[in-house]
Amino acid sequence: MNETGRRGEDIASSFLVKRGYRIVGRNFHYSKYGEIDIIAVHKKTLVFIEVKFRNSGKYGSAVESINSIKQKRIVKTARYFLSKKGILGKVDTRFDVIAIDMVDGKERIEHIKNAFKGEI
Amino acid sequence: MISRLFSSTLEGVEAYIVEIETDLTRALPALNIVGMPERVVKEAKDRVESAIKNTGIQFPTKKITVNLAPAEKRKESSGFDLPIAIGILAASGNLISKGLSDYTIVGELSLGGGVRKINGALSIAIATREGGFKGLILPEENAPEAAVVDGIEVIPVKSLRDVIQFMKGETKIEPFCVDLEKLFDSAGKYNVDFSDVIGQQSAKRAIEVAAAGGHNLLMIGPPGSGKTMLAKRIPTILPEMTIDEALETTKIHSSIGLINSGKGIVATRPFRSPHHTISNIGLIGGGQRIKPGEVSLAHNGVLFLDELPEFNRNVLEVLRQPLENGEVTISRAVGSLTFPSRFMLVAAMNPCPCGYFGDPYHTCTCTPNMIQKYMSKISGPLLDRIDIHIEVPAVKYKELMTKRKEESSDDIRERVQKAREMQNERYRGEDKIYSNAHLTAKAVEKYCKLDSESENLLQTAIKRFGFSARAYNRILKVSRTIADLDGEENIKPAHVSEAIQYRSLDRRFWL
Repeated sequence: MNETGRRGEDIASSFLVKRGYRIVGRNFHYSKYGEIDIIAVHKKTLVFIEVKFRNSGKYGSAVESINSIKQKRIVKTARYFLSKKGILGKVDTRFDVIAIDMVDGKERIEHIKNAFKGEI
Repeated sequence: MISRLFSSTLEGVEAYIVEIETDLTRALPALNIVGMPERVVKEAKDRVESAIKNTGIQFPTKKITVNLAPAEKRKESSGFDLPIAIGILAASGNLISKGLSDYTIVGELSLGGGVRKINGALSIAIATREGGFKGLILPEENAPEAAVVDGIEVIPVKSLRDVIQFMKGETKIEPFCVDLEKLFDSAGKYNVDFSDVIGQQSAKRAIEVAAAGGHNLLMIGPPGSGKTMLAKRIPTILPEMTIDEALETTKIHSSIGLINSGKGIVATRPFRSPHHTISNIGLIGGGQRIKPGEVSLAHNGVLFLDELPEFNRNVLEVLRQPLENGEVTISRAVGSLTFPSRFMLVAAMNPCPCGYFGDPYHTCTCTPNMIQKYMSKISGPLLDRIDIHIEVPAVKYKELMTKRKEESSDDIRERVQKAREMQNERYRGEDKIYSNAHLTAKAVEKYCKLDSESENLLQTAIKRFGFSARAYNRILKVSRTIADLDGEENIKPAHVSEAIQYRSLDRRFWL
């Protein structure tokens, strides 16, 4: 985990906590398949959150970098998480994306709820 | 939670009821549509999701399964968008309504939550009534078409929000009503009339005979002589459409979205004139999703084939079944469908490739060989089904300039209608005979008796022009029609001699 990535997740976590989300996990790994940055609970829904942090807009915005391959990895990992906890099919789930772009030295946070579906 | 509601979709020109079940489960969010959806139904996913969001309702983050039953039928219609959206809202508890399954719902959604028009509203309305439903919720633009069917409430909607509020009972939507008689009268006007055609008296008379007996017609004449103009006006002198006929034709037109919004019904006899590059499928119907072709669109009207010899030969050959049976059966791997296709065939052609053979004002530049090749493109069996062949000569400039009042379509139609009534009376007990054109060889013997004078006349003509046995039968049928136009029960020599005039192709030297 590099410095930038952690910084982004820290920003996202505090952003979520302020909005009433309860963080239940961070950097959940499913061997080599993938990783989920933040797992949180909000109003009885389990939310899997992918955080994207971009220092400059030079290579496109943060949101654009979450393509379908990345989405599939996240879904796979989420499914693993649910079955490991024995709650697959027992809770409502959602996939969110938090995109943080640095614009003129300031953070701009964008929270996309229900950003993609569990089957692609 | 499961919700259950009903929609309807087309199979050919008829509609059937589709039950839509929507199940929401707690799992990774997804939206799946099962029940043989074709591409357009699969794409409903994205339209439905956007439409729900843009109506201001949160799209449920659950695993959604939508089932379209009966599952074994292939479904291809954008009309499922609206019922799927309602199904999702009902299953997620956003829309609680007891009356949900009293109605069938159809409509395409726009991303903003608006409702767009669909095809086949008339058939869907009929299926709704036969399914015993209270009413039909459908796009506003389709309401006039569906309202023709009585016994059901037709609820026109503009947006997804309209449907939600209507279902919840928050707003009342007045059922759309039409006065069928009134609609029929106002829509039953033609915008062309026979009085537009100057001169061509003999052609007009032949057309009147063809219309009176339901005979197929072939016009031969140089370019610019008015063949197309005459043909376009044939529907105006055919007997007025009955409401049943209008509904049959409307169904076919509606199934491929040809009904003008606001008009609602096809109350004028259709006039279809496909270009000669048309394919078999375009003419007869078919395609991946089986659609009616031009012969069915011309049902109860006129199918006009201009430049007959230019049509692909096998395209003309496939015309034979619909001409013979009044319907066409299309069989494909996905199934077999029958479309009605009872039409009057009107064909036009030039006498030769350059068009001026036999024209007193122009010189024909074709060799006899070219002319023969041109004529041979039309097969005997097809010609066999055309009772009347006439020549339409070029109109003289002088005649064109006379300000004579020409007879109007209404006057001609009155005579045609009378002749048809005589035929209906005569053929009441017969199976599959609606007019003189449908007479079989046996029926010709029974109904077209000649007196000795007429018999002699016909014999002389046969000897002189070398008519075939086929032509003999045709002449008898056409004489019968001419006698009917005269209001005569017996065929007179004058009728026979007129009928002999209508066999130009048998008399001309090129055949």
